[in-house]
Amino acid sequence: MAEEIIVKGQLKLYGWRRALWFTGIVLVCFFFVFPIFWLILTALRPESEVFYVHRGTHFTLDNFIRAFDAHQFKEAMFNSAVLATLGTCLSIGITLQSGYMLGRFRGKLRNTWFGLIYIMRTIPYITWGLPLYAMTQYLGIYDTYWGVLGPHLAVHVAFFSLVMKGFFENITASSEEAALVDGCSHWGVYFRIAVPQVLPGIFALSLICWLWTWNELLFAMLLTSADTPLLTVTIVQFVNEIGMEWNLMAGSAIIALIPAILITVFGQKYITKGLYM
Amino acid sequence: MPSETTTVMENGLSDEQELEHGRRRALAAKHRFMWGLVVPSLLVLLVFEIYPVILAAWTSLHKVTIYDPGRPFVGLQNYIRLFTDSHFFNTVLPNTFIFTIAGLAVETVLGISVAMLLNRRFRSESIVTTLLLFPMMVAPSIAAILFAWMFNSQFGIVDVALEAIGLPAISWLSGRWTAMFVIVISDVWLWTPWFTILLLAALKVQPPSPVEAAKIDGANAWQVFWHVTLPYLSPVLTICMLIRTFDLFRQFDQTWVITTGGPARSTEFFSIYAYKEVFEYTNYGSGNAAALMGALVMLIFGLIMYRTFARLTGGTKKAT
Repeated sequence: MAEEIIVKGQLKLYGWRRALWFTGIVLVCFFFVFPIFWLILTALRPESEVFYVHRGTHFTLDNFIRAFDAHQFKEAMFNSAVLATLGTCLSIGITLQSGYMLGRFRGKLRNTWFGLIYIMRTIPYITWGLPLYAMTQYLGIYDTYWGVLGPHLAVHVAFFSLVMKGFFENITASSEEAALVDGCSHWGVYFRIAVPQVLPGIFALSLICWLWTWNELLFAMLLTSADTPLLTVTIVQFVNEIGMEWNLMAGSAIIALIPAILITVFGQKYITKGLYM
Repeated sequence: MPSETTTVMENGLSDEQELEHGRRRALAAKHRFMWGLVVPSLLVLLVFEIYPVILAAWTSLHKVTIYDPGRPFVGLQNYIRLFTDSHFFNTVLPNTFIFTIAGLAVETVLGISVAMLLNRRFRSESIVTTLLLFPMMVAPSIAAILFAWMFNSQFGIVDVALEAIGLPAISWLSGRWTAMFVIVISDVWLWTPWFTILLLAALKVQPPSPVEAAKIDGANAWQVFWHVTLPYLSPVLTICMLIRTFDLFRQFDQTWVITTGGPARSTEFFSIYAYKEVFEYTNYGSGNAAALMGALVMLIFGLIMYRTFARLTGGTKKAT
């Protein structure tokens, strides 16, 4: 095998194999980057040229300003940010506990909880979203933060408990056991010893949790309306209402993507940890 | 638990009964703590997920209308209605399954391929990983807008590109299968990176010796992949595929934005169908029945796969 040389335990590629590999990488990058690139380009085009994005020469920032000034857009952004922040703070607290229970204990109670979370994970959103519409109206929390926050918390419990479990399983329990022997209470051990050790993981999951809530569409559609507009719904309504104004669509979509961009660029090191679900 | 044991010793009561008593108290304290850990999550699940599902079941067995507050019990009438609706049976269910299987197949194969491709050191490695990470952070509804725009039948760049290389333009969103293709592509774009990143993380810590041994035995690259690498990846791959199945099956956002179930309701999935039944046609009963049928399919699938899932993620642990 003349063209195969192993460098640092890895096969180094030469000749046509290297070219093939390189082409593969380029194609992959193209597939995953092009849609975003295209969105940005569309957002930068004036209305008159949006249908010929690939040919025009005029660029403008007008779309961002117009999108921003559109009906309820700023409110929707604010509401989505508040909802995502509230949701993250509350659900990280409760899922962390649930993850600790799954990661540190054994026995029937723990296994039952594991099974329950798994089953909750399989149930499609729509199945519990539809009745929630009537339920939140009955409770008077339809179209408020609280009405849409609850189901999000339930989603987070079902999705993130197992990730949290993984975090706790990856750290050794010996110091927790030692503290218990020394007379520390269970809660003391949990808050003072266990939680501080998984802070990087918590941070990673907080970012994902925040973004997940910010990005969600179905519950926002089902459980909010004119009083508490949320960003995804507002943007999607653009499609239906203004129909063809793709430049505005693109502009508002880019604005909605800002948190995702920031988190990917600056939180990249952390978020991969939070993806093991 | 040991705190009580120490107290017992300090009191000088090494009496067996006392010890037993202390152990029980410690065990009770441990159980209280375990309950305390899960109670907040349990309450959230009970109020916002389990109770609504029960409510959905109730609604599906009653005739619920806006004008009649009586809401009489109608038994399985809504379900009969649902299963005699040829649209649900011939279009909605097949669509849901086809989408789930197609999405899963493409994402798995592409995810593994890209992970294998990236599994070597190169200079711009971190840039490529960042680029791959990004789609996962994008809202599905926004990804849907992206793909709806790129596959727009009049001005979409895909058709422009097709025409540029001399192929006929396709009006993607006006045919059932081409529209389905666009929805699948949007999901592939969103979720393939998830497979890639998790598989890549596993590949990075793969022990090199079995691979080398296989090579010394004369295995070619394909044989090494098939007989060494793939079995090594199979636990993480299985979990990824399982979780993706749940999420593909319930997918709502992209379909809603790209086609809203159209053209002529031909790309409706069960979640879209249930939503429309309730909010467009005000058939609360059959809408909830459809949503429950979807949940039932996933529940059965989930229960079949439970042992596998629990084995791979440490689901069952015996008491010690």
